[in-house]
Amino acid sequence: MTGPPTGKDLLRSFPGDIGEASVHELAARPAETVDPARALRPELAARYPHDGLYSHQATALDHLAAGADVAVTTSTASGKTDAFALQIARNLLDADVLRGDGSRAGDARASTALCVYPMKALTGDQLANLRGLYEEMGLGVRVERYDGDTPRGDRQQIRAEADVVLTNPMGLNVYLGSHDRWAEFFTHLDLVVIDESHEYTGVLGMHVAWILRRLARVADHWGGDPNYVLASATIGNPAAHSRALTGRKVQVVDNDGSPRGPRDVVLLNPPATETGDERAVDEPQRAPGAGSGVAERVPASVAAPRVWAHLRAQDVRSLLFCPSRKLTELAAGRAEKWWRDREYGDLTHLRVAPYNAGLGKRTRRTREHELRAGSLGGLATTSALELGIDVGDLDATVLSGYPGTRRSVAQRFGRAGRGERRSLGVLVADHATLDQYVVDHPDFLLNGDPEDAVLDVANDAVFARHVLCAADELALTEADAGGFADGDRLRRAVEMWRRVGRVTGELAGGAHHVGRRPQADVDLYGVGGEEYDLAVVEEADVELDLDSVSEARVARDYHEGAVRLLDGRQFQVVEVADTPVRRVTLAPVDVDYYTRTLTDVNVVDAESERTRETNGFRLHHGTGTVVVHHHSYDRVDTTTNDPLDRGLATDRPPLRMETTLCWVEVPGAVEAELVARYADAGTDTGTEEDDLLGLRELGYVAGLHAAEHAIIGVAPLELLVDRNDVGGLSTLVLDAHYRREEATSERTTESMAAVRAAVEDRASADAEAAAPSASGWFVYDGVEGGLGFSRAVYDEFEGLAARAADRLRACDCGRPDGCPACTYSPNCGNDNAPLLRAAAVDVLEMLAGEASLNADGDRAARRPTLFYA
Amino acid sequence: MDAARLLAVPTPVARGRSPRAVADAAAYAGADAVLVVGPRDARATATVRHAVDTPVLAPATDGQTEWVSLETDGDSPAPGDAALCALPGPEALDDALAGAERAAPTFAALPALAVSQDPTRLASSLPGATQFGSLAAGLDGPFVVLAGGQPAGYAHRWACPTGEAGAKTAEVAVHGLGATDDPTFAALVVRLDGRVAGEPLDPDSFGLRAVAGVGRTTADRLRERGVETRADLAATSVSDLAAVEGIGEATARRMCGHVDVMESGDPLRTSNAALPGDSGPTPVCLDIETDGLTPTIVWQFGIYDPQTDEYVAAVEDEDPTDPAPVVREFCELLFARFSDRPVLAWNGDGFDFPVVTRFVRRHAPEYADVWAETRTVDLLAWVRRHALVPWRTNRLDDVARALGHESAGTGLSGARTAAAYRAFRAAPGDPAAEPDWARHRAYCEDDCRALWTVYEALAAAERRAADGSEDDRQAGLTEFG
Repeated sequence: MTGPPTGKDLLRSFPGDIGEASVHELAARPAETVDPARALRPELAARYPHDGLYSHQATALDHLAAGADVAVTTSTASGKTDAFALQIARNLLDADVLRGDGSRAGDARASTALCVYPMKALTGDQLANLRGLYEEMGLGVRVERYDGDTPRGDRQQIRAEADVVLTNPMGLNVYLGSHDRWAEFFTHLDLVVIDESHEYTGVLGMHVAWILRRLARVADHWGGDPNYVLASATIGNPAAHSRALTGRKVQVVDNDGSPRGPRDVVLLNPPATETGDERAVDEPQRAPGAGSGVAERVPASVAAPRVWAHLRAQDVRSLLFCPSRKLTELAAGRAEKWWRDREYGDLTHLRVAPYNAGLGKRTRRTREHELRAGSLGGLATTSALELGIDVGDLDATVLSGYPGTRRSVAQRFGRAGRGERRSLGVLVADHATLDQYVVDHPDFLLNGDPEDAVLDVANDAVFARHVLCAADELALTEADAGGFADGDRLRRAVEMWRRVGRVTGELAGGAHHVGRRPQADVDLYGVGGEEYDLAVVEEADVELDLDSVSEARVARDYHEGAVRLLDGRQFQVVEVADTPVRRVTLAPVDVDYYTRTLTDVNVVDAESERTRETNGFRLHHGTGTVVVHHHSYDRVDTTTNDPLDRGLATDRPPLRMETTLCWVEVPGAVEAELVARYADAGTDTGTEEDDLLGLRELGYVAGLHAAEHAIIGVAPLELLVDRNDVGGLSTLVLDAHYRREEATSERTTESMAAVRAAVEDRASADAEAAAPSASGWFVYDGVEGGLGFSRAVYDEFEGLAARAADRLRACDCGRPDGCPACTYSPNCGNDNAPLLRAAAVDVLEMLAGEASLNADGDRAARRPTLFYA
Repeated sequence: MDAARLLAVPTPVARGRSPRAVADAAAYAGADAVLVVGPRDARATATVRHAVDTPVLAPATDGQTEWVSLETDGDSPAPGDAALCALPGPEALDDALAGAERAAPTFAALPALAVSQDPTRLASSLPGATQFGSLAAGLDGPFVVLAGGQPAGYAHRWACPTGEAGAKTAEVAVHGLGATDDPTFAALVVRLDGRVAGEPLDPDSFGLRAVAGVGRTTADRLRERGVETRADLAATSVSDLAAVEGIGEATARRMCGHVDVMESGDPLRTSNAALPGDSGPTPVCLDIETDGLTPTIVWQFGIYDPQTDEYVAAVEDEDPTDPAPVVREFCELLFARFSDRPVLAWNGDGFDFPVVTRFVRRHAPEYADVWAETRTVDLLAWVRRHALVPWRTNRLDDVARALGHESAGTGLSGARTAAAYRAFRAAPGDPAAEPDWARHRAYCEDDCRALWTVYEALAAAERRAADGSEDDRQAGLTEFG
């Protein structure tokens, strides 16, 4: 057929109950182009193989011509590559490397460019694109890829001859250590390109930000003075993010001039559960059955393959995006089963197949090729096909679940309907907070401001690693104070390394690194600390390419007895060794359960560094110690999700994390009113513990607990954040968690009981002294040294509170304690109880300024010490 | 006696090794006493005690402090004797030294002590600093801490709180003993005035494993056949060795050759590869002094011409902030006076040559091409490929000393000259920070001359191709200690 069905066609033709759906017809957007001759010199303009330059390409080139750095933030496939490719060509012409006729003037190099891509797969794709463009334009530009896959024998020549080098941050981190070899390349470095720069957030972002600062130092040493181009998907804060990443002020270019064909977007909320649905290991947890309302729906992992199968049955070339490797495999099977069950006839010619990084290079290449060539009509894929890789012209995409960000939705939908072709995008929601918010608020998805990319270079542990690398690359001197990093901070880091023995000298006379090369110790996905090797028992004779994992991951996911899915196979942790080497040993197993870790969390020694008031609530941001204990785990039946064994000990000690956090103090009057309002909540909170049921504060604290979950749950709507990187704790005795003269953490963090006792001691001392404590909740960065997320939450608190209240109100689960689509958190340490939706809505509405109290009330001096993660 | 020599043996090092290897290291270090450091390990400690006759200090399980006098034999030093004690942790210090009116230097070895680091706060601290500070303030003689968990060669003066009013601090020198994640032996010279020099010794350079071609597995297999020492190995024929699993004929020959070399102390050339200067122009010896391992300046270029026995140097002793003039001066010297001569340096490929390349390119680009065409020879790299040598470390001064080179005795090292230059740059114009230029020149010259001593020993060495063949490419057997 010639194109995909419309959204309405899809709903009409789908056999059976498709659930609740809304169709949104997005109009085509025509291209906005300018004459290439306006932005480019004649010899380039004449060679440019397209009719015009898109307006954003022209704007970017104008800024670059004026010597500015730019951040181009436009839609997928809008031709960002051409903008910097043309700038590189201009530089080469200016430097007389290229003659006016496009040929090389000689072998000499006089202008170079470095392009950094987040993934190797993308580097390969871009290499072909850049070479293709230059070939088409008849320009003798030498473009080479240089990374871990580059044969040793080729490297020297690439360093000596390439005009343009494509690499990744991990590689760059290592190559900076031998910058002497790249001396000439750096001397002539005119352009640094950071593609897909929105990918650099969180821990990875912090590392890349420091690698780029190290690059700038080294380039400067050799006399290079490059401009920067950052190419990013649409994000809410391109200027601030680019600045944080590069330390430079950039011109934002967002006047997207690329065309888009008409697109129908269908948002689907699957029907309420039928019995006997298949489920997979990593599908979301079910809510316990509710009396009325919809507390459970057909999971997206079941509903989405049906929609996809239906499209495929009409031969619509399409991708189905799934959240995990396992689910891509299940989805392909489910699609075929659905055809069979509905007697579509022989559809074997409509072949579909799974696609994921676990499949091996050759299989993946084959499937990409088959899809392009048409012998495969569709792939069920992980995010692996979200970026870059060319799979030809597609008509539709189906998303199994909300992928977490609008950017990602746009990118995935953007894989269908190249240029001005019509396309169809279907999002099938899961029964989870974000998914339900999105189907409730199509406007948010289709017209809302894009998320902010959160990047914060304040983490000192990450900084310290890169200080060591910088000292190895070029001795650190006073000239680096203020340039490479803030002077005081740099001096403290140098002094720390000096005392440890890894640095000699000081900034005044020059600080030099000593010892083995520090670059190899940089882990772009971690913040330092102890790492554990993963190994499979020898008898198993299994080859797995396994990274090491952090101590925190070991405690949560790799404790003894934990079952993990690796490369689609089940493994069980049989041993965790701490000495003589840190190692986790795995054995292959075939069991019908998965494991779920239970966690106890506490916060001590919170210290406010900035604070503000909003609608009577006091917000804080600062530092503190978070103690996390993954103390036990449950075995949960894979098919029914029912616990088989509960509370098995993990035998891991608590982890202590110095991190950044924010928190909110609920005003006394609000607390008093809500305690009274929900004094009889009782078992509505989902708890059945007798000693809790007797407390009149139970309903209120259950509300705080639910509000804390909801705030963290909706944070990804505003911020590019992984909810696993953020944690929370709600408490009736906020003050007892604050830092006092004697820090709690110095003596108590060995056991959770001691931490709890210390907090209780303080709470009762406060009560004795009739010093009323506030109640409220913490949101912390779940990474040593912090990530900047809690800071962003602090800045956006009211907006997040409003969204969270919205979601809690809108959920149609009909349960007072809520469900996985509103109040539940998959990371809850207290098994999602007590929770109280109505009380959470009240407190969030007041915080957001949407409701207020008339009554005055006083804070009660004596209160139970309750806190929940 | 004004100094004592110590060897520190980390338990993880002792664990995997025979007592012979430990004894070999102790002999090499000339150890008057041996310290067992690292995590407590009874078996490893027993290995060490079994290996040596000198006093062995290992913290006892009962927490008792062990003492030795560094001046007299005996384990109860007089207050006026410099003394060494080993104790399990800083908390044992008070008991050990309570009321000790020690007037001579006290060296306290703490086998597990390591600087603790808190990168999240950009802070580091020395566990026990308060005990160290108050002791240092209370003792008449110097108080020095030897920290098991710090790398060999580590030295830092910590300001430790004395506990006295006014937040006073006392400086306590801390030296490392090598029991880190990557453990080594540590050889130390402790002077009775309280000063300490330390350096790492590669554990694989001692015992059977010092012999080229003997790794852990081969050493185990040899031991099973009763070959436990190098003397045993020397008494074994090539054919008997080649019968051992994993040892080929060529390797066996090479092992035997290396044992001979170690016994005789004379190097052996194992290939027919030419040394530069065997034919053609005689090389000149180059040594450079920088401000550290990631140099911002090369402030001394020393060139020794063995033909005329003349030494010339380019030194920047006025403006430490401008690296360019001294590079140009060096280029002029080298290319005007020694234009056709190969340039020889020790570990040149690892340090001197790339550094010179970088500075020439950056600060004297007009010479970049001539320098690129200059023949450079890293003598250490040459040795690795074409010779078997008796020495245990690759440090030029160790090597040259073993070959009879008489040191000029400047008391300097590369690290010290670098530190002196950094101090000079940090306080320009301060006479106190002005290096003793004559001494630093002498140091650089001494290294150049030492290099020539090594060169001559190799030039004169007997040649024996490892497998008896004439093919010099066979010498790619580079494993040696």
